[in-house]
Amino acid sequence: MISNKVEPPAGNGPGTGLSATYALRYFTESVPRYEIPADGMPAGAACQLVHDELNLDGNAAFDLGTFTTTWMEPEAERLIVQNLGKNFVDRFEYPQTTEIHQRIVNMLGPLFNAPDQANFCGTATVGSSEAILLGLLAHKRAWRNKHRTGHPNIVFGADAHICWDKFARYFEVEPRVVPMAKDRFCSDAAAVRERIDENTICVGAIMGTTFTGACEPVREIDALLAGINQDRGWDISIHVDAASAGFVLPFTNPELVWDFRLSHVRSINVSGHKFGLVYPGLGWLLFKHAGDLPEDLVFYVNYLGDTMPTYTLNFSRGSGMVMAQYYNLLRLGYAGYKSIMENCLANARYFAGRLVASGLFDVLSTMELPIVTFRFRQKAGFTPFQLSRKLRERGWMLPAYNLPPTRRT
Amino acid sequence: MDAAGLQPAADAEDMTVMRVVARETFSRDMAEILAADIVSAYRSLDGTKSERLEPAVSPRRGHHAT
Ligand SMILES: Cc1ncc(COP(=O)(O)O)c(C=O)c1O
Repeated sequence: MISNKVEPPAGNGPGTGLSATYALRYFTESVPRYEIPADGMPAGAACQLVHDELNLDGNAAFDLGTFTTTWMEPEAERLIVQNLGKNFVDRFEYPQTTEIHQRIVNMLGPLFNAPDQANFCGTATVGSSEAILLGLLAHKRAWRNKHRTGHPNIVFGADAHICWDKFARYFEVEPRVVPMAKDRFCSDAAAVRERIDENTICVGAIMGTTFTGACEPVREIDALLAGINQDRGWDISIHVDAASAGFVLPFTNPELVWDFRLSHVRSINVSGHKFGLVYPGLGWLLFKHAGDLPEDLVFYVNYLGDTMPTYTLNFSRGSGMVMAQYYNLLRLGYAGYKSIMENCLANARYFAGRLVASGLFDVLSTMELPIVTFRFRQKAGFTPFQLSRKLRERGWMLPAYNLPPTRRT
Repeated sequence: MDAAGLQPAADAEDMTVMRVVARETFSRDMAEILAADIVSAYRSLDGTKSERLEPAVSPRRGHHAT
């Protein structure tokens, strides 16, 4: 979030400070809003002040549009609080935290069907965005290590999350975006074919788009690349953005082939804080082969007199969310995740059915994931933005938004 | 059109959508209530259901609930 400088209003009238009403109990003067107060205040007062201000925020339990977790078990919360102050990057000080991270990566490799003989590797990230930036950066570097000249490009659908555009802009890779068709809300192999060439660092495939929850045809894209790489002597691979699906499909539909079983899928990201059921602040990036992560991108930190490889954009972070992920994996097991995901899917399908039955809405989601995207069946004298605002009266937070641009006709 | 040769959906209204992510905390009961609320909000916006913002009975006859 970028916050701008605020010019303080002149004088000391209203608007210049936080004027709390607990006159006698806590405050006799207002507290400056945009300056560090000259003196502090009692802990209880500060806590009450911040707490009361935040009452203006929506209630997270009613936030139905978000993908991220808004509730965890009290036991998980206890572990999170206990580990907030442990810097995740201090391997020497917290060797057991490092060990637990390693266990989780080892649970996720097989969850995404890394072949037995594959020497996979992976890392925790702040979320799927960091995981995607790092994953694509590895593809870019691998491409550069083979091509001394040429300008790199990357192919993904207009349905991709904004972090894909962010990668293209921040890391100076030309984005070749597959537009959406009127009734197809994801990329397809034929459209990918038109856009790849010898300078394509990789093709993106999304399992569970942010817009409709659609799953892209990774299998077809994999088959396309198998043919073309062989014909042309290229080495284009796939990064799968499984931010949402990564913690759903392995439980609800393990037969669906979208992951490391496909030979060109070389890296996958998933959000721990979405269907991984952990609070915001956790993503995962996995490489099928340790060799897919170019060695010159890896940095080393001290670890019990040894060195430990790291691959992150930031350095310090708390360990709480990683521990919360471990807690969930132990607590729920495969069966627990499976029953929660099946329940989410059943509720999503039920809800979608109710919307369709009303005759007022069309559901655009294919419902492979518990994501229900819908639009008005007929033109109305008001917009979904107005409906969204109206629903807010009851407390529901339901975002309205525009789908990505379509192909020019 | 933007640099990538894309243009916003021709019928923008048609392409405005809403989304519910059925997470672990979204119960069947909530689904039921939400669906009813969505229909009722839609009906009040399209005018087929009128909303009463004032009490139906005067304070002299009815007690304004507190
Ligand atoms: C498909 C997809 N990719 C990436 C992201 C970005 O994930 P994060 O918010 O974990 O950085 C999202 C978030 O909604 C997403 O839905």
